[in-house]
Amino acid sequence: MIRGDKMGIKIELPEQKEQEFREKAMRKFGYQKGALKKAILEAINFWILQEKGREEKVAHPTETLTGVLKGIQESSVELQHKATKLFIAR
Amino acid sequence: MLDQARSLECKELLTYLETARPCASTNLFHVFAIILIIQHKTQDVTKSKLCTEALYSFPGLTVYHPSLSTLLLAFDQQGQTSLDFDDCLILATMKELQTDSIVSFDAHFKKVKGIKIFSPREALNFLRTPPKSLRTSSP
Repeated sequence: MIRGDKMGIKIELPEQKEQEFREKAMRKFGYQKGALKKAILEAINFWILQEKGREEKVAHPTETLTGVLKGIQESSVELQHKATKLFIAR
Repeated sequence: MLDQARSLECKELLTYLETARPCASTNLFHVFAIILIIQHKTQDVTKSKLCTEALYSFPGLTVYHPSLSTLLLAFDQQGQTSLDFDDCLILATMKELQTDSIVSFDAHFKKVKGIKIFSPREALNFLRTPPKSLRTSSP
């Protein structure tokens, strides 16, 4: 369906997912016409926002990450728990 | 990253994820943890930025951004286990993503029932030759 500058996208969802989406959309935007559209638009905007910046990819990410923290004695597990403490301390 | 004893198998898994279809996920919390450690250890903002971009550059790896339901699930997990919140957030993410498999060196997860812990090498072997029941015919 094309109306003015608006384009349509047709998708198929698993039934359970469709029902869950419909129910949550109605709860949030009201049990009325347009609720699904609002929810879909919100979901698409959110997804686009999440994906933004990914276009500028690092060509060889493994190489980029290799040895960044070379020489540190603590293990990755210790560092992860340390990060939590650092986060709390800030 | 740390260039320690098992760095080679970590590197092999990451290299695989450079060309794979989305097949693995990490949590935004881990990205934050890595940024905090890099900044704490190196005080290098440029390095932090580059590493963050690198983490988002693996086609085979999705960074999961926890939702409110994931956070609430993590609290539930915390009530049921003796694990810290950060580990519970990982368990909650696994539930949300409907997976029971994790790649980790963290011994805390051994106490958790119903999950499979893989080393990077085991995960790589699994991804390269998945069991027949999990193979799809799509290209």
